[in-house]
Amino acid sequence: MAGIELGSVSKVYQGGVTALKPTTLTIPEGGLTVLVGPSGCGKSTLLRIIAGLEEPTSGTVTIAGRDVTQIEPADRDIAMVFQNYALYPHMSVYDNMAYGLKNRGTARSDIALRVNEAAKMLGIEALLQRKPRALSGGQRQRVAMGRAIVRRPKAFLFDEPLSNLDAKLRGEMRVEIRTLQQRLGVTSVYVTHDQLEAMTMADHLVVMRDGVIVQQGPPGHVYDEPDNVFVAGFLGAPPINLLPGTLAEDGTLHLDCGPHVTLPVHPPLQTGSKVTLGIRAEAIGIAAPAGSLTATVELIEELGPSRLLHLRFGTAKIIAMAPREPALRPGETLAIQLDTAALKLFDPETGRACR
Amino acid sequence: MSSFSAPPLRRVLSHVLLGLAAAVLILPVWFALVASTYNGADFLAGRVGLWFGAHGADTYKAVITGHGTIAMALPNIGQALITSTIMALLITIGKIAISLPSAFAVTYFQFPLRGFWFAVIFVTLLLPIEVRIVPTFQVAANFHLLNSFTGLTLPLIASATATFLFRQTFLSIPEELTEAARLDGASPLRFFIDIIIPMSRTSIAALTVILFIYGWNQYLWPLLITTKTSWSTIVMVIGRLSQTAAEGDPVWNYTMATALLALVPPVFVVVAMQRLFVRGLTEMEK
Repeated sequence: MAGIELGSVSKVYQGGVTALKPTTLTIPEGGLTVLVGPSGCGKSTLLRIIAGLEEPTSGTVTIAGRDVTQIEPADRDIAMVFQNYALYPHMSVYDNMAYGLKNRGTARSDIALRVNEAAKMLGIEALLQRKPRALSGGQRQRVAMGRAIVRRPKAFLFDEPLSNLDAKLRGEMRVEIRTLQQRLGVTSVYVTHDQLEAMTMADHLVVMRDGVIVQQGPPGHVYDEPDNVFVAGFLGAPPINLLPGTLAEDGTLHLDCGPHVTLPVHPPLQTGSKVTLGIRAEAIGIAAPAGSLTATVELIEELGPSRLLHLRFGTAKIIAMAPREPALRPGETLAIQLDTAALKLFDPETGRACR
Repeated sequence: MSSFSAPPLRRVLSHVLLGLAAAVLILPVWFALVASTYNGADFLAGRVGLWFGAHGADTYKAVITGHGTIAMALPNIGQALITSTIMALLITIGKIAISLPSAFAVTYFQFPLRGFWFAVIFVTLLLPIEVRIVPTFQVAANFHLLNSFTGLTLPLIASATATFLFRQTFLSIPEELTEAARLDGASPLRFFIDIIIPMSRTSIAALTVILFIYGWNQYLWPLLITTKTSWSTIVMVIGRLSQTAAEGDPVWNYTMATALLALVPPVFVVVAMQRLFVRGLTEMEK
């Protein structure tokens, strides 16, 4: 495996702040690995350690089979796209893209070839003589990517590259980066705090919190089988509904908010255990014939293809994702149905999933 | 600005105020210009008013050629202007050339006692030439620097103002740019030349203006370090003329004409740099 290997890498800043606890991670070759988590979770630190911009307090960094822990960033054979693009404002687009090659002593004709090729790939050929200030946010973003591409590195590192763009452009660039990455097949590490970006782009998703990797895997798997309450709550919009309750003798769950929920199988827990039930909005259905569970509509958010129902469920509030039919009005009480296969139980003490 | 949209009355009022302020600032220059168009007799008779006199051409001819109706010989203004220009340019270039690398060092490099060395540089702000004039003169004299450009400029070049300002400029350059350059394989020197200096153009232009005028206006130090009138700066010439006038010979017209001519090079520098300065400002981005 010739991706990127991190061997118990950690980072403690001067003054004793731990940004990253000893972390071992294998970033698969050729894929796009997304590091996601709330701010301060250590994802950027991890990326900067891979880039060599930050020296790890301990541990080793291996890129494509070569130990680069002690090697300068420029010699690690990586390219990075920064949050603020970090284009040199006084240089033309062409010079911005060529600068790294120039410093490496690449032949002038070769530089021209590579820059033009990358510009073509990104559709910025017409902009090559412009200065960055004359470009829109999306164009700057492309130039920043072009600067990375011309280097033909072993790995691309993206540090929240889309956070300065508006929502529409972000969606476009997401697809563009993903397409480009698949086409080039270069190992990529992508840092973001946006769970949607993380879910949509990742081949391999790494969720971090407080300097620790809490879960990793294919995005669909991490979404469906969260290891703990944090991951369950962090991924998905609207956020997962979390309802505390107690396990009763007959295997049903008595929720603190009132209703009793029948569980498909008896969880490996003792009767009387406190648990937190996690249920995603799309796992709550409106049952046409009256079921045993009812909820009252409080607010309806139209999304277009579907809508979000803010429901009062016992004394708790939950959000359900429902089709546009039937017509509903706030104040209406309706029967709901929980997709029993999608029910998640968590230990309220540790937050871990009970399986 | 075209989008300026204050109520009409306020706009009129603010323009009146601006006009008044401009008039107050221009008044001394106006007086000098008017005074330079009278002759010595007019001054003695008290005929000098707020409008031009009849001898403007005579005055400027005398000042420029050096032949006038004056007890002492008129100094060579052309030479003094050249001396002043060279001195001011050397001080400007010298200060900027020293400050850029020293600011680069204290901003971007970790070295032992960095804070201490920055403080040492900073302390020189507290020691302008006037404070250390006697020992500085002694050193300059021992090095045989009297009547030389080295002597005129070297002691004025050593100061921290520019270092401090450049450090502030460098600190405002986003850190991501430094990191991008590191990833682009730029050595510190390449980074300095390719990124830092072009990005500091605005500050360099502003400092050029400030330092040129600082150098141009030097009086005390040139007065000490030069012993021959052929090394006089234009400010020294003005000083000597006004002294002559104060002693009874009414050469105010010559004094004022010289003072006006002495304005030309600094104004030229200001105007030339202003364009770069403004362009630099409009090119700035976050």
